[in-house]
Amino acid sequence: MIEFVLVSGLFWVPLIALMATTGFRLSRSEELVGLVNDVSQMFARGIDFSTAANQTLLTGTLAATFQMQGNGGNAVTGGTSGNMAIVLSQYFYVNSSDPSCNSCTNASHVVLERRIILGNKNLVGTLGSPNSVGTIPVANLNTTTGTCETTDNNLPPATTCQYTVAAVQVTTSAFNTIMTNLPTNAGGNIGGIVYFAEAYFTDITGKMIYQRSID
Amino acid sequence: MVEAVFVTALLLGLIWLAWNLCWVLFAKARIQMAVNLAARAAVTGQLQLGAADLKNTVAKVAENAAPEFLTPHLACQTLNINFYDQSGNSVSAPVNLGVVTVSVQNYPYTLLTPIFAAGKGGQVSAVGTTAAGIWVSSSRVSQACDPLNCPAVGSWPPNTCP
Repeated sequence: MIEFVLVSGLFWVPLIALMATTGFRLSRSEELVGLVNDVSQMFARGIDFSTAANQTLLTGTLAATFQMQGNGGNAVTGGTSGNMAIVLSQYFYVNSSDPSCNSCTNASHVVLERRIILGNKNLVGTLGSPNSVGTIPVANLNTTTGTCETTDNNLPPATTCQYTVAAVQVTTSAFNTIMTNLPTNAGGNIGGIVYFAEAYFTDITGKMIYQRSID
Repeated sequence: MVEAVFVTALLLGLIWLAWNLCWVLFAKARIQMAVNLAARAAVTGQLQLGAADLKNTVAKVAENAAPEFLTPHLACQTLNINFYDQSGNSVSAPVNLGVVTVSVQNYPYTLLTPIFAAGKGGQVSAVGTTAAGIWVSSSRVSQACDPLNCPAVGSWPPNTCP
């Protein structure tokens, strides 16, 4: 009987618990890969996740099984509840020959020109997960669209912030954690754009599952 | 003898757990693959042979991709096909750069060894909640169809499930 208790308590029960939690984490991880791939390609093709309707589509259907919570009144800066966050980032390479640049501050740099945080922003970069690369200063963030803009709200849609605000530059070493290079010329001397989606999810064990996708 | 009873019971429980967990994961993976393929079919705007309209084509693709799980009856009950515009508003037909979502909601999977689900035949589901049952979804960016060859969108699910 003593042997049974010892073998059960020290071997079988931990083994079962390990197997069950690993299985669930594996399943969740696979699910998250699919979700982040879907969201990434939608973001890259122009689906605007700063709108309440698209956020509802995400929380109500696509990420329903993760019990993702909406942003509430914050269109692009995230909420503070729920077990999941999705961070959408748009990076742009500023070609020094870009007609809009004209010897601008950010010439020959990769910059973050748009960021939308969906779900619980407090999860981003926690529990061993990598933080999202780059930031848009509060003063330059359009809190409705997530784009980087100057304080002049009357700017045309093609904003100049990505050319002029040094704070949105992303260092090469930081950007290399995402991908090695962006095309320096995607046509007309205008640099390439990459769309990046990251998902942070804390599972039932309280540990973080992190997945990301590039388009 | 007493030890043998305890150990055997424990091992049987372990086998039951492993068996059913694997089964659920398999079912979920199969249904996920089916909705992925169905969403891809939806954005092509092409009708499948024998399907009267786009929504029935999408449903048929899902059913054919996982016939052991998405039977016509269960697909009718659990498969959802929806279209949205770029701003996330629900629309009746695919629009250019909108979204199509295909989802299976609360699929009532059946345990292989239904000893702990007496009275339900091993079936696990909870209508209206996400607590049990299988929930999967897939989405794609849609495009408007060729005006000269635009299939009817149709409706899903049918008024009467088979």
